[in-house]
Amino acid sequence: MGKVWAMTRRDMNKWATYKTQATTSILGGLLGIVSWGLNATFVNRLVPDYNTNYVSFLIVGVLISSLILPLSQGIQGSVSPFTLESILMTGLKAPTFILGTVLWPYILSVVLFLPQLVVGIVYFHATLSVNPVSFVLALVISTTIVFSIAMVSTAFRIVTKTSDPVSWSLAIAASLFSGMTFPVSHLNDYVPGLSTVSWFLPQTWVYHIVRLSTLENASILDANIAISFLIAMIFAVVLLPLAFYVFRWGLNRAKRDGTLGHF
Amino acid sequence: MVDEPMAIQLLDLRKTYKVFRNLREGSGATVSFVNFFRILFGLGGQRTVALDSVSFSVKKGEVFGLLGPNGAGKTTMLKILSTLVLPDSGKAYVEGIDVTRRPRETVKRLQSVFAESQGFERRLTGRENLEFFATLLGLPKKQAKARIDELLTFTGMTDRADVMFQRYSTGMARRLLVCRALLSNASVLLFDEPTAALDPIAAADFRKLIRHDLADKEGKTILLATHNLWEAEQICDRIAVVRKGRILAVGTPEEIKKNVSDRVNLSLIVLNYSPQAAKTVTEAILAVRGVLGIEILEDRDHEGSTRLNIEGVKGLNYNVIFQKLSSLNLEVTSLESSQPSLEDAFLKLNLEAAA
Repeated sequence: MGKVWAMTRRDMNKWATYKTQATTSILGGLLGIVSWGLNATFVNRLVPDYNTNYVSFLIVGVLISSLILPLSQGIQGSVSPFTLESILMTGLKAPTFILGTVLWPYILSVVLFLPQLVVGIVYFHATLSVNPVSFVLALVISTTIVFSIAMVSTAFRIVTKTSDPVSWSLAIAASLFSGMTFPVSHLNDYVPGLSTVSWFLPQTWVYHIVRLSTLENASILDANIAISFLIAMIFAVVLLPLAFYVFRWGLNRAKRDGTLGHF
Repeated sequence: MVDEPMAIQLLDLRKTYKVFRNLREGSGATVSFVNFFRILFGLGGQRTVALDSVSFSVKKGEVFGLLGPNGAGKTTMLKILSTLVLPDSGKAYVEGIDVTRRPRETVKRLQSVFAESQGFERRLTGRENLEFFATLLGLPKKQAKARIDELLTFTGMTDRADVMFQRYSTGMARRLLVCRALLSNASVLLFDEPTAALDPIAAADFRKLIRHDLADKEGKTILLATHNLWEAEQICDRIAVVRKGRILAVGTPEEIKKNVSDRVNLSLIVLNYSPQAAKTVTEAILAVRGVLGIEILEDRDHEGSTRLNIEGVKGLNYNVIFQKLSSLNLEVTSLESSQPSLEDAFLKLNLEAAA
C-alpha cells in the first residue's frame, strides 16, 4: 500500500503544481453538473425503472460516470514514453502499478463528487434514497469492474501506444447502451429488444446497481435486487482475472516487440 | 578448480524485430488494404536481426564495454538484461538469475542508466523523484532518506537536490539517473552511451564517476555500451566489439589491438605539396611494398605543409617512401611512427566482418 500511496502522492504533487489546471478542473466539474441539471429539469419526467424523477436519475448517472471515467484516464498519463520502463525496473507488481496510477484521479473525482452532489440536491432537487449497505457493496463491485476495464485498457495502450480499441469500443458502447443519461428500457421504444444488448455490458450493471442503491433504498435482502447485484458480481469476478491475464499479455507483447519505451 | 563467479552471462542470445512498414509498401504509390490489415494486426512482414547468437560473460567487479556503431545491437543487449525486452532465444543471466524467467529478482541485482529513458516527474524536485523510486523499490522511509542523502553527496548533487527536475541540465539529469540506479544498492549497473550529449567537462566527470567511484571504490560490476573508442579504452577492463548483432572480438583493449599488431602507422609532414598532385602521390606511395593505405590531410598546425598518414605492414621500409616523396619534390619535415590504436583495430574488425 505504501507504493500505491507513493504513486498517488507523486500525482497529487504534480497536479498541485499546475494551478490553472487544478482550478479549471474544479470549476469544470461544478459547471458540468449545473449544465446536466438544467437539461434534466427542462425535460423532467418520471423514470419508473427506479421510481424516481429524471433529475435524480440523470444526476446520479453523471456522478457515477465522473467517478468511473478518471480510472481509465489516469492510466493514459502513466503509459508515457519510458515512464513504464523506469517503473518496471523497480520490480513493481502489475496491480500495484495500476492501482497507484488510478488512485489519485479517483480521489480527485471523489473530492469533486461531493460539491457536485450538493449542487444536484440543493439547486436541482435531486432526491436520493440511499441504502448504505447496498451502496457500499455497489461501490466495491463497480470499482472492481472499472479497475478491470482500466487494466485491459492499459494492456492495449502499452501495445497500441496512442489509443486503444478496447476502451474506445467500451466507451462508445457505454455511451449508447449503458444508460448513463436514460434508462436502458428506453432503447426498446426504438428497436424492440435492443435493451438486451445493454445487459451484456459491464458498465450497465455499474450504473444499475449504484442507482438501485441510491435512488430506491434497495436492500440486497430483496431477491430481485440480490439477483442484480449477483450478476454484477459475476461480471466483476470474471473480469478481474481476465484483466490480469490481458495485462500480462500486453506487457510481454511489448517486451517481445521491443516497444515498451515507445510511444 | 573453482569457476570464477560471473556477474553477467549471455548465452547464444538472438533477437529479431519487425521491420516498420508503411501502407504503400510493395504497391507503389497506392495504399494497399492488404498492407493496412497486416500492419494493424501485426501479421507477416520482414524481421531485422538485432542480435545473432551473442555470447559473452562479465566477471564480478569488472568494467566491460560494448563497443560498436549505432544499430549494432548494444542497447538491445542492455534492455534484455534489464528485463525490458524479451529475446527470441538464448539465455541471459545476472548473478545466476535467468532474466526472462525471474525479472523481479533480476532488477534487485541490476539497475540501468538509459539516457533517453529517465522516467522522472519533471514537476517534482530531484529529491522527491528519488524518494518516489525509493518507495517503489521497497526501501523503508528512514533508510531511503539516508541513502538518498548519501547518493546525492556521492554524485555531487546535494546543492541541486531540491530544484525541480525540469530545471536540470543534461549532466545533472544523468547524475540523478545514477542516484536512482544506486538506490537499491544493485551490484550490477548498465550504462547506455553514458557520456553522449554531455559537455567535455561533464563527460570527464562522469567517466571518473563510473571508473573510479563506482567500479574501483564501490566494487560494482559495470556493463556499458558506447561508440566512443577513447572512452572504452580509458575506462573498460575488457571490451566486446559488436557489429550488426554479432560479437566480433572480446578482450582487453590491448588484446583487441593485437588484431592489428602486424600494422604500423606513419605520419609525415611534407612541404611543396599541391592538391593537383594528389593522385600521383597516392599512386606512388601505394606502389611501395607493404603500404596498405594513405590519407592526405591539410596540416592546420603548420601553414603550407601537408600531413600524410600512411598505414603499412610491420617492417615497412621507410627509406623507399622517402625516396618516392623526394622524387615528387616533396620535402619531409617531420616523421612520427605509431603502433595501431583501438580505432585501427575496431575499423579492421568491422571491415573484415563487412567483407
